[in-house]
Amino acid sequence: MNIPGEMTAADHLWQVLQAQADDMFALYQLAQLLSQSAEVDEIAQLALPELVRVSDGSHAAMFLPAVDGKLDLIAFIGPDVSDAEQLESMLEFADDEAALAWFQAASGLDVPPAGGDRAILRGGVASTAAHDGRQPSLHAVPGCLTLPLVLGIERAGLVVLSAPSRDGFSRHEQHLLGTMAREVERALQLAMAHSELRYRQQQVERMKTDFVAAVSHDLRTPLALIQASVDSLTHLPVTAEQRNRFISDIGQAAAQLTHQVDTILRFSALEEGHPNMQMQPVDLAECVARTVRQWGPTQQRITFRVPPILVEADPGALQQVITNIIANALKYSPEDAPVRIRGRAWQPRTVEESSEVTIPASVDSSSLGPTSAAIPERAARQFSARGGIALLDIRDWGQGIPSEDLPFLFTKFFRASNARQSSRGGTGLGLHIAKRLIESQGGSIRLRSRLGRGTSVRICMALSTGASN
Amino acid sequence: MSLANSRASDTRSPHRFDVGDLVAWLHLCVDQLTRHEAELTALDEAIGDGDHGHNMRIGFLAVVEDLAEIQAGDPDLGAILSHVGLILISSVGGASGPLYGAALIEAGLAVSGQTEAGLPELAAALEAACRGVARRGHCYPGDKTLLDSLQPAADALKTALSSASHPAGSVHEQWQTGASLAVPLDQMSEAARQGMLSTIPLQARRGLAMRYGPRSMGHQDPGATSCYLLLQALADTWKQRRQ
Repeated sequence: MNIPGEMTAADHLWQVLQAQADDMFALYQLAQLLSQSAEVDEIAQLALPELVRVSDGSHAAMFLPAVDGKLDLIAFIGPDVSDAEQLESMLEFADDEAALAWFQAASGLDVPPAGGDRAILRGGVASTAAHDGRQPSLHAVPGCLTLPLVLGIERAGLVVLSAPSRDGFSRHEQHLLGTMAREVERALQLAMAHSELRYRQQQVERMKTDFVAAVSHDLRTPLALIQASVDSLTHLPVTAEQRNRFISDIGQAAAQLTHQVDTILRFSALEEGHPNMQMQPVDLAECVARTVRQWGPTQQRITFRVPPILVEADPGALQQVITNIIANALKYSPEDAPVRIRGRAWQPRTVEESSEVTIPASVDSSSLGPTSAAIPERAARQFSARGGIALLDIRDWGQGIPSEDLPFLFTKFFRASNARQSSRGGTGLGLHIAKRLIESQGGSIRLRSRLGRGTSVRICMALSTGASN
Repeated sequence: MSLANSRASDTRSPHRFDVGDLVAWLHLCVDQLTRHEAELTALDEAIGDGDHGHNMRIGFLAVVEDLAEIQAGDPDLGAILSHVGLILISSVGGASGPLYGAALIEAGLAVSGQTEAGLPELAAALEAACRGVARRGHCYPGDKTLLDSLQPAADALKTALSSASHPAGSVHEQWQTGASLAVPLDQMSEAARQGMLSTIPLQARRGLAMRYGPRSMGHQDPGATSCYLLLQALADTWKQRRQ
């Protein structure tokens, strides 16, 4: 054996290699442990004891960002907390300084005198990535080490370690613990993605169930009315007026059924592939009149004033779109409330002007995603290139739509909260189909609404130049 | 027993562990690990991933396969032990490889350059092995690991050494340098066995078993079990070759 105190170059190299092997083993152990879990809580409870052991510490706490940006205490260990029970905590902290202050008190460290922005941390370097976007770095005061956990853009948590019996953490240890924190980050990111996926899956399941229930309801209701009317006509003595009434009811119910079946079939076709639009000049006034007639010759709620202008469209698709919007307007307003349709041609002088009029001043209610922003401009260019826009506004004075639901209205299966609460059925497809059909025809659709006041939908289509493409 | 007689009639010292003993021990380890592989596997299935039995057998098989090469140099107990440790690190799967590797490397360093080891050297080697495991695994006795067998074994040898060193006249001198290893090794093996059994009620605080939390209680630790088997083989090797 060498004389104690005398270290050869070989001994030194040996020590360095052993230390590296120890580090790798620590990382291996941690990674193996974390790979067993996909739950955030469990990851915290497995990682903290490892970090405490490797740092030879006494206390550790993990804070993760909540949705509102505050830090939640997820797990805490210390010698006074038995291994079998972690601190079940609802503690929330405004930021990592507050979290650190709590931890220092809980673990018995001396809190350094306050003063300045990051004065609570002595000897530390930068702030966490959540605060200033720089690379995460470690804060070290004697006996205390904070490790940022970067979980996403502007989302960062913290692990705080306390080792009051020690002078501090060597650079080597900080490096190792920082690397272990990266492992924990990875595991947490995976766990969070996992749980979000699960949540969405549940959402989709729920939407599917709702959809099936809604469709059944929407088909059964008019069918029941038809059945009842036919039964009455067959078996009961009725006056002429009553007979006409029954016949009108059958007509309306049949229209409803037709509309519903068309909706589902149209949606199915959209889902499967490209909607084949047969674009041609379409007389807008005639199209609207035809559409409104579906509600029977005696209906009185719907009024329209539309000039006989030619738009470039697929006649069947355009009719479907207007039908869907009118159906919504009728459904979500009182029985005597009107539905007013106005159309006009308009020639924008510039592309910007064209964009302005096609996008109403209220919330952009198109579905989320980059393409919806691009379409208005493309449509606007088309409009000005083709020599004008046809505007069709459909207005109702019904229950309106809550503003927080507006961004989601055109999403498939989405139904506004006040629509779901009303007893009327609905599949959440009408507006979604309308938007897809209109945009497939090169047009745009926007919506304005105020809860309790009513809703206005604006469709913009290019005026036909006379020759179809 | 006459120490002088036994020395003259047998090149193997009754008091000192030599390279031949070391080699015999390694072979016996393979036998023991093979015989008890199913048991180790079952223990590891309860609170781990079920591969400990397989991993240990494969690892020590790799060691005996390389024995010719290991022994090629000068008969240096320390160098051989360290070499075995290095092989174990890469040949034993899971966490056990690095841990047993650290144990044997440190033990080898403690007896580096020596061709034989008496009780003081063996005690030092075992204590060094414990330090190696504790450092690499960041574990303490009571965490439900192989250290729970290894530390009591090291302590038993230290106890045997200190009682052998108790001043008692000229007989003491002989005991001090040439204390017979038979009894201490048996005491060591028994201490390891007790340590292994002591892991049953413990809750795991290191390794994969940690994930089971309180459910790890009531199960004997597989690492402590394999460690006992190796230490028992050490005592058995001595008995087979000296008595």
